[in-house]
Amino acid sequence: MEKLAVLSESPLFEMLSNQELEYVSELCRPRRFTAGQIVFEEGELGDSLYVIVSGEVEVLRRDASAEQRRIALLGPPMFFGEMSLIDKEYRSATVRARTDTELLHLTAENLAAFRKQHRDGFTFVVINIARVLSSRLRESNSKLVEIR
Amino acid sequence: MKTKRLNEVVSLIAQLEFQSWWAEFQKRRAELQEAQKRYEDSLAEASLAEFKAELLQKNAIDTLYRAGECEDTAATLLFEGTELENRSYRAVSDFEEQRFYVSELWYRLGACEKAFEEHREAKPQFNGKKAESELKAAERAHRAAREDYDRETERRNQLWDEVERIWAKSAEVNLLVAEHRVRAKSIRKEAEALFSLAEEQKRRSVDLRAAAEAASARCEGARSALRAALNRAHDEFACATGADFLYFRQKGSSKRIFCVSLIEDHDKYNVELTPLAVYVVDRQRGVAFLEPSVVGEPPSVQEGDRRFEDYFLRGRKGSVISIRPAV
Repeated sequence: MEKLAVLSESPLFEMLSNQELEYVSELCRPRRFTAGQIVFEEGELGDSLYVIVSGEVEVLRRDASAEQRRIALLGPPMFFGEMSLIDKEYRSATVRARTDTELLHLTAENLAAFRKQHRDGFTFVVINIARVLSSRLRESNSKLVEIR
Repeated sequence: MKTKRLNEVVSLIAQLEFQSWWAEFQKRRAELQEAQKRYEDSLAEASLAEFKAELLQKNAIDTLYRAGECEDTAATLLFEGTELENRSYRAVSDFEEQRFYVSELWYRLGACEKAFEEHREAKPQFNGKKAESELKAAERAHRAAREDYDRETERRNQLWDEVERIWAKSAEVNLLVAEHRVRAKSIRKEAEALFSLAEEQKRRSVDLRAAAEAASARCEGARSALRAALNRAHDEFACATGADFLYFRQKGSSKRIFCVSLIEDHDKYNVELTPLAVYVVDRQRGVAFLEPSVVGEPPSVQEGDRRFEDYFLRGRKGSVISIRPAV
């Protein structure tokens, strides 16, 4: 797996310089999941995010009747798990590999090491996370209006 | 441990002297791994042979017990057979006695029959009360003799049946005795073969244990050679040495240490390790948290500023991010 190529495609690392991307690629660890395997569970403590290299993952959340419902399907070069990294809360959803999946794993500690070395690069990572969250909020707002 | 700058560490790694040390270190490490593998293999083989020997011994003992049980059964049956034989002698003797007795009764019955016939034939000539009563007495005697004879014949036949029953049972038991004896002999032979195999396996396990000890000694030798290689690195390159890393103090920092990975690893550390890559660690945490080292200057403040300007003031550089909805 060419980590650098994958990271340069990911919206999480948009606007990062090559040097910053190289540094991040050294901090990321590849993880493999087989179809059906859980990446993390709703309610777990989490302080890391994942970038999808190949395959697909589904984001599942329990409804009021405790039944798991799929709320999103993600593929490369998307990322997930960033919410717990930012708000330090428990995982808000379960993520399960829908197919055999390759991911890049970046922990909060490794992200902090990136910040020490590349402050501007780190700021852009945070901006990119904020962009994704803002985009999701817009989509949710639109859906809310449609429902009403 | 001397202090060094990152570029000094990087150029040290590129030096011929270091590269020759690295080649020797890798060779020693491969030798140790090979020796360890051999030791583990021979230890496993020795343990397996010991286990097999114990198992065979246990099986042999169990089989021997089985042979003993079979012999016991044969002995019990033999005793039963002897008893049956004795009983059959008594039964034959009883039958013989009864046979003589029945013969006597048969003669007696013949006599009574003759007497009765004579009285009956004489009756028309000597008509009278006396003759009548003698005929009746002869008739009663004849009937009684017939009844005795029939009853005792029946008893004789029963005695003969008993004799035959005992003989049949005795033959059956004798056959079983022979079969159990043969089986016991065969099981005993089986047990002896197992004992012999167990002995052979014990001898083999002793040899294998000795081979494992020799492999352990070779392992220790390879470990010493690897330690010597690391000591040489310590002396020649002025670094601290661990099993998987070389450490250099960072010039200008009392807390930061450069460490050179001697291994490739994808799991155990917070980053993927590449052999001879240089990482930065904190002196307290050590390799519990590794940071990649950066050669060259960090991006200038101006460069950073320009990117922020581009993003915030000149319109968005990146694309709008959206998530595929759930299907």
